[in-house]
Amino acid sequence: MSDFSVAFFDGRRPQAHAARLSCDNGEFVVRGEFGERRAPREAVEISEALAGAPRFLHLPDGSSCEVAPAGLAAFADWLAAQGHRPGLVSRMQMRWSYALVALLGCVLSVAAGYFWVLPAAADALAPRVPPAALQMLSTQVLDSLDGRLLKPTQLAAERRAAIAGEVARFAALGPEVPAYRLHFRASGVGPNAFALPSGDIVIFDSLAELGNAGEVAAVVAHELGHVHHRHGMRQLIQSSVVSFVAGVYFGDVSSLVSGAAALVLESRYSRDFEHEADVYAVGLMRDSGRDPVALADMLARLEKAHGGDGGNSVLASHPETRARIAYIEAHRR
Amino acid sequence: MATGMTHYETLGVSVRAGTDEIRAAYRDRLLRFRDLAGSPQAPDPLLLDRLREAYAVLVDPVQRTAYDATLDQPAAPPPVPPAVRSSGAGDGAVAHGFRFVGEGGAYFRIWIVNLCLSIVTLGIYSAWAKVRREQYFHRNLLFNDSAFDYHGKPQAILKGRAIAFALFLVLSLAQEAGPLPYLLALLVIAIVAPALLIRALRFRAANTSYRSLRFSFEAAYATAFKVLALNLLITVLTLGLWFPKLVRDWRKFTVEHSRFGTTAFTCTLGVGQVYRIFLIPLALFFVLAIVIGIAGLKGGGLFVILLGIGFYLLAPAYVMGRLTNAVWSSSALGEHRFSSDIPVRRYVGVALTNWLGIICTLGLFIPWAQVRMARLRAAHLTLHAVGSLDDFVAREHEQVSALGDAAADVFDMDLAL
Ligand SMILES: [Zn+2]
Repeated sequence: MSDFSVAFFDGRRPQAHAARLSCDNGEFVVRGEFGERRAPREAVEISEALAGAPRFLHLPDGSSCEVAPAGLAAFADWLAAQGHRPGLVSRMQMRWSYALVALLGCVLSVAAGYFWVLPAAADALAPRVPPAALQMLSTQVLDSLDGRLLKPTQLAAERRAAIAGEVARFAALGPEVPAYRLHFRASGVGPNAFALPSGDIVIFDSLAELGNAGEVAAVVAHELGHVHHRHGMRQLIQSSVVSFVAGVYFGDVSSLVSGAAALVLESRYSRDFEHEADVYAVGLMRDSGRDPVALADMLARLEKAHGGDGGNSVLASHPETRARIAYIEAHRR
Repeated sequence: MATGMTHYETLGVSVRAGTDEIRAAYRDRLLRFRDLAGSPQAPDPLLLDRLREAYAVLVDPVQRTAYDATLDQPAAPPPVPPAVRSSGAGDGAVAHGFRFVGEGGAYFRIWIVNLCLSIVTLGIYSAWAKVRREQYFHRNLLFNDSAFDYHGKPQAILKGRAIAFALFLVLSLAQEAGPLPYLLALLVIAIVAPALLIRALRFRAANTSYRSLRFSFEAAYATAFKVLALNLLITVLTLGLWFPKLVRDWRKFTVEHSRFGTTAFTCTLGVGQVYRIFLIPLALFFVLAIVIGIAGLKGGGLFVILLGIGFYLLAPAYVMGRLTNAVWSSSALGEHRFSSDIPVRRYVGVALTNWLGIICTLGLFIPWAQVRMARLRAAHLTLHAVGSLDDFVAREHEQVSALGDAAADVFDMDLAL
């Protein structure tokens, strides 16, 4: 087949002209009632095959030829006869077999990224964040919490001093233990403690009242684990990437879906971090000559204190707390 | 309708149409028949039989060849332009329908291959993926048997994205850095956003063509600033009551500054029309707020969540469906009027099933969902042509950088028409 039937548009008016397309001495030639147009092959832009979509040939003078869906197969044959080869991706996206390979590739690379690449990247990146930036970030978080959720502590000064004294025994172990500052605060949201990336550790009055000074120090040991492993910064990096990717993928549907997906995916990371912090705390307590079971006891009490309301039972970590307690008891000595 | 119509005319396809096209046309006609049944313009019930007969013959190659042989005008173009419907307006206008002939399965293959390459290249290839997506949805949209085309270049889009992403990072960092940088960042966004949006619309229009004529978009910065910033400010001050006015001004703005060749689009969308669209969702919102308040007090947690999600899903789809109809039906290209008559229930139904499908398949349904929506919108869009449609004239077209378009992607701005 030497020539091919197309619709020709001159680029000035949207009027369709019946035309024949042929190839002659390295030039595309379009002939019809309007006369003849010629253009060197490399100057003509041929739109790629996209399933059943019409294809276009754009000539350098702004005119174009359109191949209707019915003629696509014949046009592809004609192009092949002229020695035109479609690109690799263009060929891949026509076949179901490649689509399935691509699907597998997507699943595997996302899984690899989620389970290995992202945690490793965050781990490598977190130590490079300058301490000044960490301090700024943490101070800002604490300041904003102080205004709303947190109130000044009601705890007696001797009690605070007793807890600080117990914690100081960890610091005496050497440079392996990160620098920290203890902050006591009252809060209405139930017993809790958390560490900021800078080493600022906040203890709620309600938590300090759950046990004796040594037991509270066990919880601080766990928080020191978070600081030591830079969990705060790593969590920040990982969750930003996860929510960004989930947002791009599900963004067209709704922010509700992407938000929920990100939440579910991020929870796995925090579970890993809790375990790492527990392992660190057990080591610290054994090295300083204390029984790690104090942490397990505190975990059980925390669970009981939070379990009462049953409000967010969907995301509550009941089986995980049991596993954490079991781990600590198995590694007491 | 005369019974002397050929099967091709019944389905509104050309005699050279492929099987996919015939299948798509049949499906469109069936849906249209179903939508109109029961309405004042209910079609002749016999039409359904003729559609089925035409489809059965044309979709089977053997029967089709035999049928073609009985036609006395082989391969000659049909006397009436295909996809023509009677305008019914009595103003001498001829109605030309739009058709989207893409298929979910075909688009899935393109989508998944490009998604995989985008992931493997850490997002760089997504510029190429975007061009393919745009091409697929432009080139499968047919009007008078010709397709639209998309000319955006992936390299330009990639460059624009890099700049827009850097801008995005700087602004997010500024927002983290304290109250003063935050205010400054907000100010910069307020000043830059209208300019970026204009450029995004320009890029999209300038890279869209139909029958080798380009579209274009041109608007002054001051106009866009007034439409966006001023309306947004009043919307905030009136606790959202001004929002329909913002939507109307923005939609009118995007249509009225567009051209096809040298011919301008016009839009007569009224403020009252848009307020009427928002009326039902708004009233429902207040009723729901009260119901949820009471139920919340009584501890009906699951009930409240279901009600909330239901509203969150249905209300935007309802507004989008009716707004699409209102915007198109008040728009015109030169003398030629548009109309859109998507049944709102169908629009909401498609939006809702798309949403469910995407969730249940962890996103794999996305290509089918997008194709379904494109089909629905095209099948109900009509151009009522007054006289010839060949009389548009091209204008000089200019190169437009992709920065605005990329910024719209990165900042997730909605430019939907
Ligand atoms: Zn922890």
